[in-house]
Amino acid sequence: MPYCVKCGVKLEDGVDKCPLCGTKVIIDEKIKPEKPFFPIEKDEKLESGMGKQRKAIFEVSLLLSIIAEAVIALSVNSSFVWFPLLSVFYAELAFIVAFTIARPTYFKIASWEIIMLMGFLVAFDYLMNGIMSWSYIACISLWIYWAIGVLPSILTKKKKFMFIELILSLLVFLVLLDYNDGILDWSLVVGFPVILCITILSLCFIGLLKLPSTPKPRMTDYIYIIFIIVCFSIGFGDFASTGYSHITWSRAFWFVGIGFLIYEIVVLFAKNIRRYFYSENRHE
Amino acid sequence: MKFFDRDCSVPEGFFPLDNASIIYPPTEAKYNTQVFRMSIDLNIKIDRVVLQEALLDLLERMPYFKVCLREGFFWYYLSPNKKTPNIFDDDLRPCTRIRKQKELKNFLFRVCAGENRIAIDFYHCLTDGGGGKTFLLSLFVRYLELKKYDIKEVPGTIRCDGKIQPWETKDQFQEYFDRSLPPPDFVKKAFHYRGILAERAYFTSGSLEIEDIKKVSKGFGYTITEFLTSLLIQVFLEAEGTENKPIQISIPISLRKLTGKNTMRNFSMFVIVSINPKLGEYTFEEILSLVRLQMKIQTERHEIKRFISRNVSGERNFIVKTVPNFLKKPFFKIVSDVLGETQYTTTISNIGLVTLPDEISSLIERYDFFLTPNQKNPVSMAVSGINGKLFVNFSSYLKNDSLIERKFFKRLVEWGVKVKIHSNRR
Repeated sequence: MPYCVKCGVKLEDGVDKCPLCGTKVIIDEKIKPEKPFFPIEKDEKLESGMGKQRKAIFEVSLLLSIIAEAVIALSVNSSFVWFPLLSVFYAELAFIVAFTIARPTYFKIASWEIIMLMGFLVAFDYLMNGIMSWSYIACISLWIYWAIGVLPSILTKKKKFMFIELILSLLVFLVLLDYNDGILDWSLVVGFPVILCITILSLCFIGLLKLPSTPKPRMTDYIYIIFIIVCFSIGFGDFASTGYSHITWSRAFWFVGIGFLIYEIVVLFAKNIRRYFYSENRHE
Repeated sequence: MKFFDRDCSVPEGFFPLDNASIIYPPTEAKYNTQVFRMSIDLNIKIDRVVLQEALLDLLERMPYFKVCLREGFFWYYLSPNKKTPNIFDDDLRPCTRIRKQKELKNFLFRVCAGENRIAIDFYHCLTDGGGGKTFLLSLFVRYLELKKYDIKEVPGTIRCDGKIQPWETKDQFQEYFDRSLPPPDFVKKAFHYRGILAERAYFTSGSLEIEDIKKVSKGFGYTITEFLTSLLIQVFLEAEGTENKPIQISIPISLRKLTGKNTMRNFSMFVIVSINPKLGEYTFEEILSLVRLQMKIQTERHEIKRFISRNVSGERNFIVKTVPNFLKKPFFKIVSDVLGETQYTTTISNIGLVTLPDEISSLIERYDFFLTPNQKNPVSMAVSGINGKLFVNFSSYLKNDSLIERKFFKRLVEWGVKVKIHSNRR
């Protein structure tokens, strides 16, 4: 009878590895393998359907939507009653889609929900106004949320690609937003230079943080860097809007940006100063 | 037709669920199959035709098993099933789902016959371990009778020639209901062992000599159940990432022995044994003594009454009674989570040593008992014994993770207990 040398348990005749630890067992070919205790399954029946918690959430949402529909239908006495009824129905439909077709990843669920929300807004806008008016801006806002908040969740391992995707998405968003009135004006004059400024500054800081002499950045470092980029981008936007001639209202942003930039560079490179602000070296 | 008669002996049309099984149908789901298996391995070959005949005879005698589950407006209920149950090949893993399986013809059990094996999967709504054991042994006794074996009275079985007795279908929980009793103390959330779940359950069975395990447990001065429970607690304490949450083991206790009342329906309760690693390290002896103490306290007469009263009061609540079933379904799922799965880390069910007359027990080589775990607590353990052998059967939904089973059996081997392992993790 075979033994597992690692676990010390006896095993069935004929098994080639220990089911507990996976250690290989030397099979004595003279011994006839015994009939396995657990039958070899002819067709492996897998568990199917929803888990208990998922089922509970699904049922609760269905019940709430039915109750909501009933309350609306009985209480609203107006020709616009179709709108709340349709909204609740659509919300439930979105929920069912999230729980059935879209699961299991965040990317899939969020993408489906955004598509459904876009469809709802467009349909609502069209039914109310007869044309697509405000829903255009709402849709492109949802799209930029998808590009910035949802798509990166599947690009976590491709950081370069993610960076390019974010910058390009911002550019496209500005163009689409500007094109709402049929002509492209401010996006080319101000939007593009600002995004260029953000890109260059981000690349500079990424390079700075990757230097071998730079200490391991902390969350506060990242917050300050983002703050500096925002200040300079706003300032640069003002500068671009005047035709690169002078700065008008953004002087304070430039000063604050420069101040934080000096501080950040100092705490990144002067170890003795950094230790006053961060606890990393304090106990040495 | 007898409507709403809890104590009706023969189910006619409407046969209400007992108090414990009310929770099972609305909470049945993926990873929550609520099925347990009892099986006997024999040293004789099984004749399927005779087994089928024995099953039909037994169902004639026990019509409360020849039922299907229906959904009423207010409650789920059992209703007689006029179809004839089939005997299935033993080519399925234990505890495969029973609800909504076409081939089962709405029966709430599945009888499988192997070359030397009779195995029955029960849906928990129908009965508990005690009732399942009686059903399986009664089926086997009837089979032997039909095979012309000379069988005398076998304690713990039901003979087919008798008449149905009122106690067999009685919901004994209702007897112990006392509205004035306060509910049991709220149990804290337990540690849950996590891992990647497989789309199916895996089973690992360890067979040990009772003499070996008795020697070790008596060496510490404790019973086998207390010893195995403590060992499992220690294994969980050693598992990584307990997050300092208490390890709580749910131990189903049959109330038949404790109350002296018998039934073929569900009549068991849960004892929750808890060890909190936040309080520091525990030696094995300390765990053993705490397990014994907690089990003693919770199986005390007043505590049992308190536990049953809490459960029955839920069923008798006016709102719960009058709310339609489709509204109750999600509510029951939440209740079973809050008062059930979140409260324990794993389950140990010990149906005990099966004692049978020599002429029957000499035919049986193994008596196995398998439980299904659930999504929150993906590992569970069932213990059974016969003819000087103990069978410790782990069931797990974990994919490629048998750490708990390995540590458990390895520790037994270290104590000098010989263990033989069978598993469907191939």
